[in-house]
Order: sequence, then C-alpha cells, then structure tokens
Amino acid sequence: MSGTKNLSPDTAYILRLALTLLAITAVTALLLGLVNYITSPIIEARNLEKQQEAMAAVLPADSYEAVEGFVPTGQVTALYEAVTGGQVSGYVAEVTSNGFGGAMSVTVGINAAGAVSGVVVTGHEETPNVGSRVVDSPEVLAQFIGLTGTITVNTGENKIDAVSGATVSTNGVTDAVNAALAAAAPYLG
Amino acid sequence: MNFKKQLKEGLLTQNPVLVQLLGMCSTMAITTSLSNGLGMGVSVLIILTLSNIIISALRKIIPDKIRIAAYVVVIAGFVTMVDLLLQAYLEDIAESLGVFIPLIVVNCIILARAESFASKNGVLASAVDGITQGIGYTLVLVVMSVIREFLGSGTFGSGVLNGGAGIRLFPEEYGALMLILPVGGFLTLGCLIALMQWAMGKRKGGK
Repeated sequence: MSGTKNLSPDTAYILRLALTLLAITAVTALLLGLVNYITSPIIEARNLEKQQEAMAAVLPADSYEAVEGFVPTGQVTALYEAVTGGQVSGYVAEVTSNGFGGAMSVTVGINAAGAVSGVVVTGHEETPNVGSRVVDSPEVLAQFIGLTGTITVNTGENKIDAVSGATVSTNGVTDAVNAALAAAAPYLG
Repeated sequence: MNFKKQLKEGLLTQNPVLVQLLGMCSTMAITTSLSNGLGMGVSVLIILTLSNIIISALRKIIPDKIRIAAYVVVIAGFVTMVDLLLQAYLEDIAESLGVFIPLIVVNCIILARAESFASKNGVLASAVDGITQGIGYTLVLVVMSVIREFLGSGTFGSGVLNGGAGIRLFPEEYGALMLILPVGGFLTLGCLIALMQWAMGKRKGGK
C-alpha cells in the first residue's frame, strides 16, 4: 500500500471504500444542487401560478393576502383574504381532505356573506372515470355554490347529491368544503 | 453487428418486462394512457442509459464491497435530476406520473442492468445496452397503454394527440373500467407475456 505505510492493509482498504463512496456521493450531491438551483425557481413560479389560478377560479378578486394570525388546522392548510377595491370580499381556503384514492387538495372560495363561491380540486388520486367524475367535473362541484353551514351528502336539508359509484370521493370534497366554511366563519362579520 | 444483437435482446429475447419480468410496479400502475406510458418509458430509458454509462466508466474504481451502495447513489442522483427537470419543463407528465418517477430509483431494471451488464462491460456497450433495454421497456409500456386506454376509456393517444384529449374511438361510458384499474394491468401484461412466449416458441419450432 503505497503512501499509507503507517496503516495496516485492512485499515487502508476500509478507508479506500469509505473515500470512494464519499467521492461518488459528493459529486452526485454537487450535480443535484446545480440542477435544483436551475429548476427550483421555475417550479416555484409554476406552483404559485397554479395557486393563483385556483384562487381566481373560486373567488375572483384583485389580490389575495394570507389571513394574519390564522393557525392551520388539521385540514385547512392556508386561509387567504380576497381583497377587491380595498375591501375584503371573501376568503379562500386551501384544504387537504381524504378521498377514495388518497389525499386530495381542494381550494374553496367563500364570499362575504359566508356562502361557498366556488370549489376547485387542485390535486387528487381518485380512480379515473369514477372518483375523477366528481373532482374534475365543474358541474358536480358547482352544487356547492351558495351553500352555507354544514353540508351533508344526499340526505338532509343542506345537501349535495353524490355522484353514483363515487360517494367516497364526493364525501371527501364535502369534508373539505365544510372545513373551509368552519375555518372562515370566525372572520366573517 | 453487436448493436443489432443487443437491440434484438432488448426488444425480444431479453425484454426487460416480458422476459426478465423486471419493473412490474411501474408497468402495472402507469400504463393507463399513451402519454403516461411514453413519459415513463422515455424517463427510464434516459436514466438507464446515463446510469449504465457512469457505472461502466467507474467499474474499475468502485470496490466490489460497496458497489451496490455506489450504484444506488448514481441511480438516485439521475432519478432526482430527471424528476426535477420534468417538474420544471414538462409539468403535465410530472403530475400524471406522480410518485412513480421517484420510484424509478428502486426499479429493478436499472439496478439489474448495472449489476449484470454495466459493471462487466465497456462504456459504449453499456450505453447501447441502456438504450436497447430502455426501448424494450418503453415499447411494452406503450403497447400496454394503448390496449388499456382503448378498451378502458375508448380513446387513443390521450395526452399526446388531438390537443391532449386523444382520439375518441367509442363513447367513454362503454369502456371497460376494469382495464384502467390495476387489475387490468395484470390482465394485459399476462396476455402480452403469453403472446410473447407463444411467438418465441413458434419461431424456435420453425427453425
């Protein structure tokens, strides 16, 4: 073992293993850092754009500002004030809920009167052609518009109709809307 | 020609999916539309080729005892790069493939080729191996996607052709939903493997 005459052959071998792996890992990390440096602004801008699009779809307003002092609950991850002409015109909540295939992300708009102004599902893992008939369908989601309080599925006064065969997905969206309404309630005069 | 032999192996006699039965998880899960199948296939092809090249180039430097750890680092590095690039530039594909892009790290095809081919052969041969095996994988994914998409939702080429909507061949409500679900993946793959075995057996018998 040239250059390592003070070390026993075993130690030198172990060192060689560790240093080789270290070198490979370091080079990989460096390259990953570089790719991340290039792509992260693009990905961030894309995500922000998508978020703005979803908010504009559920409750059109001039700007959206995070509600001060809002503490995220289990389901509602963010709550925004919609500002139109200097006045608070409603609230937009970003909610995570459980559907049939996994978590779904729902953006809910609530107008100044406390009624739902729009619902958009921004991410989901529902079954194609079953659960997706709920979350991707503007007609189904339009059922929520104008409702207040606690919404139920299929039964009761304040209800929406589930898509047949996709009750769990419908329940997931309804849960999200209810959570959004509950979160915004304290802020509505 | 060596390339010809490797291409034949990748496509037919040593096809990664139909013969080696590697990478089953992604094969079952994502082959529901042409864009998914093609996106996944090309992603694997690129990662497989790059990791084969690097692993082959480093095969004399990497000590035997830590080779698996070294391979996994190289593969995971490329997968993460492709994942980030897809998210930045091809967001639709990144979204529909979702968690299956990061899962390419544990896709057996890549580790299997690193271990059985790239660690024993030169850089050029390993690159060719990555490309041919990748084409074999992509081809099976595309065939499965087309079958499942047609029978399951009645379209051809959704996400790619006709502005993303695909060409509708019959109304959606007549589609066999089962084929879009995971069970359809098993059925389609089983039929394809059977067909493949039958065709190869027939060719052998004819000779």
